[in-house]
Amino acid sequence: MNARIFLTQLLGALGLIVILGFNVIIMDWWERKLVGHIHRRPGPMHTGWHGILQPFADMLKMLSKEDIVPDRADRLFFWLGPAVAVVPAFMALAVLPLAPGFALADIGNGLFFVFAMQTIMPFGYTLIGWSGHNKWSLVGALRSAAQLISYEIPMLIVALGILLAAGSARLTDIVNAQSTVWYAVKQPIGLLIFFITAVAEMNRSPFDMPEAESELVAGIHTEYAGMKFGLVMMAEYTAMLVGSWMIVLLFLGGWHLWPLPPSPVWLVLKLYLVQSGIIWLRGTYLRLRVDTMMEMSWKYLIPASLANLMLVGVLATTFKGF
Amino acid sequence: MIEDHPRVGRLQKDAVTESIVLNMGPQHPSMHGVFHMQLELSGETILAARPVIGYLHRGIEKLAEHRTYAQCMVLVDRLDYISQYCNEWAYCRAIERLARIEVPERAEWLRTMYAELVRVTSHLMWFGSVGLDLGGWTPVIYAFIPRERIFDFFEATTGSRLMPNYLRFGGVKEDVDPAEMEALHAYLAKDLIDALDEFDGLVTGNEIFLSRQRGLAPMTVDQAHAWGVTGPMLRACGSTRDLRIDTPYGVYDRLDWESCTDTRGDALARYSVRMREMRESAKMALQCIERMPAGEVRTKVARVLRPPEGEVYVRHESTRGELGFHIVSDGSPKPYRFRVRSPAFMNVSSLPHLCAGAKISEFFAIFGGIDNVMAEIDR
Amino acid sequence: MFGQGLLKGLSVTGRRMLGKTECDMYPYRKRVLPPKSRIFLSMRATPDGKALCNACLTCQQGCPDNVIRIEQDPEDRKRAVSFRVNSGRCTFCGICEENCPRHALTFTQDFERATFDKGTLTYALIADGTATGACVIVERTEPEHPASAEGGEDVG
Repeated sequence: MNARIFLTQLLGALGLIVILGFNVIIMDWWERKLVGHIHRRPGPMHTGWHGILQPFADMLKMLSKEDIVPDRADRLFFWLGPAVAVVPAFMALAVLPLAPGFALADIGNGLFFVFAMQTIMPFGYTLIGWSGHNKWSLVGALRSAAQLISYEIPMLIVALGILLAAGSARLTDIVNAQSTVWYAVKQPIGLLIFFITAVAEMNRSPFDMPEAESELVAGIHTEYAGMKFGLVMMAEYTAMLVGSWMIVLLFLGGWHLWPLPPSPVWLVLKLYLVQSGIIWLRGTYLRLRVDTMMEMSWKYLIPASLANLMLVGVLATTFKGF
Repeated sequence: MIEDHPRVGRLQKDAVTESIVLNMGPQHPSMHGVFHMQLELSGETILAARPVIGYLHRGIEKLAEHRTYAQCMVLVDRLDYISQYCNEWAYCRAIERLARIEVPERAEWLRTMYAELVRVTSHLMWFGSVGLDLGGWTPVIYAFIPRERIFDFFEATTGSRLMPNYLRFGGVKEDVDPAEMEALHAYLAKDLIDALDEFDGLVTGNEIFLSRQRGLAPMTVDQAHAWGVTGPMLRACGSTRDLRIDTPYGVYDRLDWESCTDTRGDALARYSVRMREMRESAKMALQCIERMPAGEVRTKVARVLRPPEGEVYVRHESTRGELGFHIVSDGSPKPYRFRVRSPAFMNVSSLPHLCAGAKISEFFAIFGGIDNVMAEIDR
Repeated sequence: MFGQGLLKGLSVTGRRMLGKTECDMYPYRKRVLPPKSRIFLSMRATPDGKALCNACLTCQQGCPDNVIRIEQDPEDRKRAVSFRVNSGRCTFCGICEENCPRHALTFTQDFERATFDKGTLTYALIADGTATGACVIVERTEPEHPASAEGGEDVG
């Protein structure tokens, strides 16, 4: 391999990590502000302009806190857990394109790579919950495992519908297939199911079972303090970014905003709109019961996603260019 | 009994598993106060639940024996700090019956108005905590906005938001400024109802909420009577028992209102009874403001009251149920015995029965419907 | 229809998201408490340091929590040498103010007296026979209202 390409890729990967950190900071602040305004309060106001420096203050606090490992915790997994949760989320971002062909690795199997990486995340959450030697986090870990596994299935089946329509698993191709009409219009049921499952996959309210603060204290990360807790938070925000990015790429036309010329600006705009919508959901809804949530996936979402796949298959074979 | 439960019995027969004991509380984000619940869990299913109380025991009943009757009013405020005026009124009624003190007409109207206002604020607090228990942050913050507005009225008229010490034997401390009353009337007639409608839009019709509450932890009237459950929880099982109607006091018999009941007996029924009670209470407070006659608000009572020897028990419909004060006097300025029958204590005793076989997340949906205040349970 | 309640909830929060906030913004904008609000105990005194208190001890004996300590002048029992308030014990019940026959006691609406030192919670309203800076200055030494006629016996 040529040294120049290697260097570019390395720089790109580093840049990606910086972007991720930036995203976490922005989202941390924006979530507080948005939920605050939903609650009819202004949110953070004291640090900088409208509290814009609050995430930095939090980061300083987390860095300076004592790094507590519980006495009877499984030390190896206690360390490994946050890493296993956060690294796949970072890796998924490597294939997500920002503009046509502009990704760290615009591979032909991008769609499945993202899902493969998302499948690893539950392991991280389960390790986090298991290793803390705490009953709350244990219950949270088991919930997390059950939830993430059962919600991956309808998500993947819906993605198969997209694959069928676009004829390619390369994310750039999928987006370019939506240059005029988005898949959100062509497959609205798919979008609905994908949105629900994506919210569940990123452990956001109303599907925040693993950390259910009113039931399980802090769920999986009850025993985490300091920067390890920060890593768990980072994993969650990154999962949210990946999930929203997938929604934008697969259904909302990515960088296309027909009839305007395609631009990465549209993608970033849509990305943050979707994330704001997810925060809005958090500000509105109560948490689902854990067994209702399982039922929802197995009884309704999986059959619905299969029906969607069948519908798409029929339409795609009947009408050319669907 | 718990083994008979279909969801528990099957588990115990088929699988050889170890149940874990989970200490929920006293330090838990959604425990109301310092309540401690020992849950025996099989997976997420609750096999047995044991409430552990006493973390907030301040010895109020014993403290009261060393205070004059007027000084006890301060303690009574701190029993159920969410519905202070109901406590004070019940205590005042006990002493007034013991010492045969007449209460002026206007004072009765004022007491009724304050008791109904505090019922609104207490139920608002409950509404917010139900939202918190079920995992939403928004209801509690929305509920506190009207609650704070009513507290502003309390502060402007009685001098304190939470611990008013406003009722006196033979009346109330002082009359209320008519301008404040006007402003409150305007608020209750429009803005409070709008806020309640908004809560209905946010929570009551929400399918997630309904799926979590409907059919949860049903209770029959017989069970409720056996467990000593009173108040909105009892009325949610189909009983019409409401001491404001059954043993009328204050001016309730002169107001145009109805007691809220439901027949379903489940968690949703408890919710809907309380939600409707808020509207009824606001309506009653409005009627009090409109129809209140002018006049004295306080009869002259010796500063250090010495009730005649004897004992008295007074039942009062507090926001949580039947609040009782049993006071024994030996003729001295201090009560010989001061006993409180706490509605929340009795209601919480139904909790182990209600949540056997439920899931952890259902536990909080049940617990929220009980609306306990630990200060009153532990005293 | 299923989903109606969910959409209704979103419309409620969406409206509030765009609406006004309800915060008091406390340290920047201070709340003015109503005059009846009971915060810290104070006493009415004339500008020359003469307090209205006549050391009748009604407040000290009526106080449920032994907040007030009054020292009478041994020569003139109607004059207080010192009047100390331990606000750390105070429950702000207002019994002392209500029972004061000369209406000397009053409450201030100043609520910012948080401290790290418990000792500073005790303050004097009268020290060495003169009113301290914690008193509220009034023009007249006569009581504003005639003494209430409802007074009864004191606790023995």
